[in-house]
Amino acid sequence: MSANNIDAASIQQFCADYVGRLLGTPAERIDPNVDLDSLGLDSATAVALIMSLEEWLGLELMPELLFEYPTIAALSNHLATRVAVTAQRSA
Amino acid sequence: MSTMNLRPLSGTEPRRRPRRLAIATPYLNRLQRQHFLLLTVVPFCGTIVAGGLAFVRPVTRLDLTLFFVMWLATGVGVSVGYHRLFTHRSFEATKRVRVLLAALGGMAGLGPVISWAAMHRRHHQYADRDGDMHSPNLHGKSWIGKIRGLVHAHLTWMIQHEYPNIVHYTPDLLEDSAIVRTSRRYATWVLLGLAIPTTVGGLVSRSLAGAATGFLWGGLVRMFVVAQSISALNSILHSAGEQHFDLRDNSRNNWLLGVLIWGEGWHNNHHAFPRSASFGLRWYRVDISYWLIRLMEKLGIAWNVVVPTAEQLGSRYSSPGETSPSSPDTYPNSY
Repeated sequence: MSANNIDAASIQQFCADYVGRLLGTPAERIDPNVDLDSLGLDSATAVALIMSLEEWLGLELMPELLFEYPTIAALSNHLATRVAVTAQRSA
Repeated sequence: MSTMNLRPLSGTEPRRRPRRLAIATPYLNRLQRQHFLLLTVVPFCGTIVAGGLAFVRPVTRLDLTLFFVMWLATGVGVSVGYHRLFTHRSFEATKRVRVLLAALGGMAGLGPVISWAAMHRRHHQYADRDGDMHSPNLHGKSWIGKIRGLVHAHLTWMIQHEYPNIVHYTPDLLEDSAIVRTSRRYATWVLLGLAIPTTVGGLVSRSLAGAATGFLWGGLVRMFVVAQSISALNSILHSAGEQHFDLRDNSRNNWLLGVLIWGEGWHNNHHAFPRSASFGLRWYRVDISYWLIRLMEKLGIAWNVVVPTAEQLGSRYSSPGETSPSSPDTYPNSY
């Protein structure tokens, strides 16, 4: 179970790709420093992002995270830390 | 749009933990409570007001027409669109038809289409068992338990419930960008569904009173009636009525509800063949949603209409008192 390829940059890319797909916009045009609800996500699509991240990262995630970390950049940094912590624990 | 790395939106990365099929979080529960207040309680209050008002100012033909047109349009949006098209994929249609049906269904105020479809697919997966968020049969066998179950299934489940993982249940809808856009705009459809009868009522009668009663009858009363109809499927039609098919769940048929609820009253039939565009299953059973689907097919705007073959029907049919020997999975019903 290798988590060492997952850092904030790759998580950010995942989020930009996913949100871009949901919104029908190229990932490059998704601003990682804009609030997700300003980008146009509603509660359902926000949950979809969270659940996809949960599955990929192997962490249990709650939609409430988006209140604390409302931008892709903030979310990615936070999740990268959690992934690193989890990897250390299981190492 | 970047074509690199086009992973499907259902997530096919190697899983590090079992996938959660439903989540319960305070945030979503809060949204559900707000939705319940705005779109279940308010239409109920509006119906009381409209009823009371009728003693002071008789209901006009315009009011009733607005009610009927909005009832039919939004009911079709839910029955043909939300249910048969988006949840069960029982036919295919042009993008314009899909967006129109999703918008009309949105006006009914039962939730955004992607959430609704995911919940309904989960309902079919767990019908009348743990995981079915609106079963009337999980509160005990005593008569008190049955009443509590009915109240839950008809009404109170909507106040707060687990939310299905839409990545798991509706990956196909998440891939359909027109539907994601339409689903996100749910609040707009609800407001439009209220604005239209208000405006028409006001313009045609050239009065504010006409606008107000248009809002009440074409808006709030209509929403109340549509919601009650759909709720009756969850409560009554999982409790009492005819069963032509012997299934694991407690779904039932009722011909009168079949007529009144856009064909949805053939609920036992539907649980036996979820993917069938026809719920009546026989030509003489009134199922206006199915007739509409066939009409759209004739007009060339719908195709691949799914109905069970005579053989599939035959292998599932059981007379009252007999148990069908076939397993529930003989009909290819993914959802």
